[in-house]
Amino acid sequence: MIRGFIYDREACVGCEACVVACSIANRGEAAVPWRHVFTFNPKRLPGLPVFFYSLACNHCMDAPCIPACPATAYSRDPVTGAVLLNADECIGCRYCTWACPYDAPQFNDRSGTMEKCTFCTERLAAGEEPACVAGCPVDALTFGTFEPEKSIRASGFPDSSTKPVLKISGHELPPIPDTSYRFSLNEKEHADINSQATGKISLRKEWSLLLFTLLVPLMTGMLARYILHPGPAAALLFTGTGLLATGFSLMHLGKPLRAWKALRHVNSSWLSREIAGFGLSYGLSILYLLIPDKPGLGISALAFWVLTLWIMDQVYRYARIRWLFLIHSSSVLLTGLLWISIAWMQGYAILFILFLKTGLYLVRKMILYRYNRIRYLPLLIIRLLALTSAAFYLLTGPAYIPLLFSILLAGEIADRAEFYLEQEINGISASFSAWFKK
Amino acid sequence: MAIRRINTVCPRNCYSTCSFRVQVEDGRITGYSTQPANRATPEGMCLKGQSYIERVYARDRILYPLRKETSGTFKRISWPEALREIAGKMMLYKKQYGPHSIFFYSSSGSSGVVNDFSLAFWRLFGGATVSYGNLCWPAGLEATRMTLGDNRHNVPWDLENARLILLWGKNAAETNVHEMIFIRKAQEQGARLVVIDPRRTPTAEKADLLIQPKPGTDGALALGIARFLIKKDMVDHDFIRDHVKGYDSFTRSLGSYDMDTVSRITGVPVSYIEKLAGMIGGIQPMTLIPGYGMQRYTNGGQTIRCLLSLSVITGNIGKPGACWHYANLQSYVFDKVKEPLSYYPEGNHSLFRQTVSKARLGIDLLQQKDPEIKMIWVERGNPVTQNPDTNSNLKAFEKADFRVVVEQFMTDTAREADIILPAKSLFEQADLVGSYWNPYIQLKQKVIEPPEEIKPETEIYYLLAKELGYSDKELEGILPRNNEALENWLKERIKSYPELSWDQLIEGPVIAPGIQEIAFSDKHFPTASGKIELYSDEIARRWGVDPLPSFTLPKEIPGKSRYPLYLLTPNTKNRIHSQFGNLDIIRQLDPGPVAEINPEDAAKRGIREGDTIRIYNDRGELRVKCRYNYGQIPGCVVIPNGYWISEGGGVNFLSAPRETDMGHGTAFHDNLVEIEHIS
Repeated sequence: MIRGFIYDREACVGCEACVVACSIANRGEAAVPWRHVFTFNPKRLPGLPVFFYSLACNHCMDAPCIPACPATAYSRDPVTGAVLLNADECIGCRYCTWACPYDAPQFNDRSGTMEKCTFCTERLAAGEEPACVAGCPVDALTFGTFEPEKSIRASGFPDSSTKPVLKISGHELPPIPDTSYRFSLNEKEHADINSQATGKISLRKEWSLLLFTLLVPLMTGMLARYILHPGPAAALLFTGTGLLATGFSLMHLGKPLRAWKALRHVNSSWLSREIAGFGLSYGLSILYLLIPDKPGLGISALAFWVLTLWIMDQVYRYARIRWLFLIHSSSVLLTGLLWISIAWMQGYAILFILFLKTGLYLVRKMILYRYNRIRYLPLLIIRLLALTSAAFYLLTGPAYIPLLFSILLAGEIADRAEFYLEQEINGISASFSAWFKK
Repeated sequence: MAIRRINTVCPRNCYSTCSFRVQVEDGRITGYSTQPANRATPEGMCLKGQSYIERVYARDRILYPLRKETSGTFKRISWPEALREIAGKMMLYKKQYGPHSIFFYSSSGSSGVVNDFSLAFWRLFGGATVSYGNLCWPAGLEATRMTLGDNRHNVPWDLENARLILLWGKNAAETNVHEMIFIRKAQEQGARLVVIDPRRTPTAEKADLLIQPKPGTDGALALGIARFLIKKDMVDHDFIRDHVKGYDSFTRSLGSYDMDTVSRITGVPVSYIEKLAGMIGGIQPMTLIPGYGMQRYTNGGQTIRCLLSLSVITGNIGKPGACWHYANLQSYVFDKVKEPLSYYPEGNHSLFRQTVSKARLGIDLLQQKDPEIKMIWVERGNPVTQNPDTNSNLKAFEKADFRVVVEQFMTDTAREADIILPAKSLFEQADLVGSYWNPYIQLKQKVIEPPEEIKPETEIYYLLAKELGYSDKELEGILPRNNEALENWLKERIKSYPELSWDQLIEGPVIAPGIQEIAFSDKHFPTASGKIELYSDEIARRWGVDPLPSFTLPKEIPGKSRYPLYLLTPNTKNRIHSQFGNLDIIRQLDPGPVAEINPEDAAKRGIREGDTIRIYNDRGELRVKCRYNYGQIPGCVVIPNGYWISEGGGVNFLSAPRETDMGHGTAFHDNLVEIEHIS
């Protein structure tokens, strides 16, 4: 038996009293609402029900936020089982928002850290219900003990393996009123509504990550080139690029001064591993730049970079269609290998990687086309032009390597931008939209 | 730290009138809990009630008297300064132009019997010009009073007994959320729910059937159904024979309301009208719950009579689960004159000049002669944006020489003031509060001291009277001089009711004396004939309308008027009219006005989702962002009322200053507009 929120979807009218009750009870802490009422079909499309999920944190038994947090800011309250966040330890990286399929952790712009539902542990200790439960005007939200279910089967609810401590009653399809007026949607309107973006991740929000993930493979290539052609200018360029990449990765944090705390969770957080990998590789490389007559050191540093590139790809394993973004044509690892091949002028390797990237790109586009999600045409054109013209230049020989490099770089930037534009991460709106399309 | 829990009640203009307990620690409110003794509101308050802590301690609350500088900004002044200036102006205007040159205006911002002291003060002063009518519900009150004799309905929890619930123009999920508890219980016992609304509201999602007529045509829909029921013999002949006057002439008047005609007028397909009629005729008992929006049309009172006729001919009155659920004034035991009669200008106050209709506030004020209006005093209201025709209202405020507004926040009306006096919140003075939905009388206890320099209105009036030169002896029994005197006065008021005691009221809500749980269960109808009057001579005489429930089109109709779209300005869960929207906690959920339009109307005008549109007619305009809504019928623009001008709102820039067909109500929903995309 577990103790948690019980939500009666049929009783809920979406009045949001729970949201206000929560914010009032957690005054001083709740600068952003910790509870949200999610509306399915807010536009009132005909033939579809309108219903609500009032959700805060489900305090999952296999809470993905706890292992994902690089700073170990999350922990479990031994008494209530609540998943708690220690804001003093939070670095504001927002990685937990990707890990959580229920949109529970909320970022507070003012403090630069995350906030979330605490189950009102203090009220529970005093024998009271959580504030949201006490505030519900129609008894749709209660708190109690129940048998955990394997998975929550409710219309449009995210399907996940996190074992949420939540019970939803009213499992069957929500009824639709018989309406005397029905809007007739034409096909184009249907398509427009179907293709609306729902992601938690977007290029606008993640531009610093875009730059970081472009610079790190480039650094790997630079180091590979340096091993063959050492020189002070190249060393300086490499060091500078590393500082720039560090800068961009810090810009992504709400609390950049706490960045070092990100190293605390290497044993379980991919983000922690990424930061550790980057730090180690960069440090080793600098060491090599200082004592360049140790080629073994250079090769080890390069090996570390390649490992880091692979880790960087793993950070995105919360993508809704996971394999599509782990084996991506702009995968950091593939791009890094491409730059190494160019640095070492390995024609066949270059051809092979470009062939692979083209294949992955086309397969992905075909799949997204099926989901009606082909957009960003200019990026697509740049990408394909880059891939094909590169092949042309390759056939004409290695005389135009700088030009080839520039064209390929443009293609990689375009593709990586698409990576952030097209990516969807599990969340309520993504889950609603998937159910909607069904 | 001492924690006290004090019972109180929310005095907002709202059906629910929730009971709740306030938690006070060291003189500061820190939380609330439910008061399950109120059977109508046994669970939590709505989001507005939950936000009271922020409202009381809001950083933008007005805490001191303020005076407008010549630059237009407000500056803090002391109470003696404020009172001296106000008293000086009052004496001057009274001497030069007479007391009627001062306009006293109050509205529904806060309810309770203590509000009576305002008129007591102005009576003492020698009178004033006051308004008559009401912004909300009088057309329906008068329609019901003329038909049933009184405005009362079954207790809210009786809804569980209904097998058919008709929410006609009411969006209970947002405006009376606790009613949804009883609707759900009824549904669990097999009741059917029908919602009639041009919009697909959250309430409609719980319904079996949603009928979406064109705004203002509900009367025709009801008459079509009545004709169908009579033709199919689905009426209650015994009930009609024993209790109804005018049934035969009503039957004869329905000839032209055949299904095709009704379908053409209302826009509802015939099959759906028949479906609805079949349910009304076939499922017993039925509770019909009309909202207040439909009667804010120029045909509003007659519309309500048409709807009520359905409850009458099917015998759905005076039984458990069977009820006409418009307004329940049974708990208003302290009122000498009950609504709607208290709204009428017929001279019960000889000292007062009652020549300003609330529906025509601005233009009536501008037209006052001998004397003209020199000073305006506003409390418990925000007339600049909440009464029709905001532009005229602003002009009228501008024309006066001196304006005093008693307010908690810098509303659009407060901005027009020369002097703003800080108003109390619900926690800062005791009062007795009735409800127009549940059957309780409740004590709104004083919970905290008013913060900073805030004073309750009674104290403001007492101090002002002293400043005007009245002695304590003259004020004895007219205005309470302090909190103790006020609470003694309240205790005195309940003394005439042996059912009520102060001690009991401190513990929670008390059922009002003389309540009929099932309204009209005695089948006694206090009309002229003692019967339910479908045919009413009095209504024809008093208001010049058809003695029978009949349908006339609203004044503004697409095709005949210059503008093609109905502007609907409903209430939402996020505010009570113009209250609450300024709070941060509400703004997180509702950052500002948005117009909802049907994509079909948008496409015709090249408007796309998210565009800023101009909504306009001859009276004014509004610029807001728009959003698609596929669930509301075409031909409507929907913006909730109450957003301040400073928030980009002010729907009454567009509404016309007109009264309803009866009751001196306000027909601001009779309002057509056009929209266009602006870049």
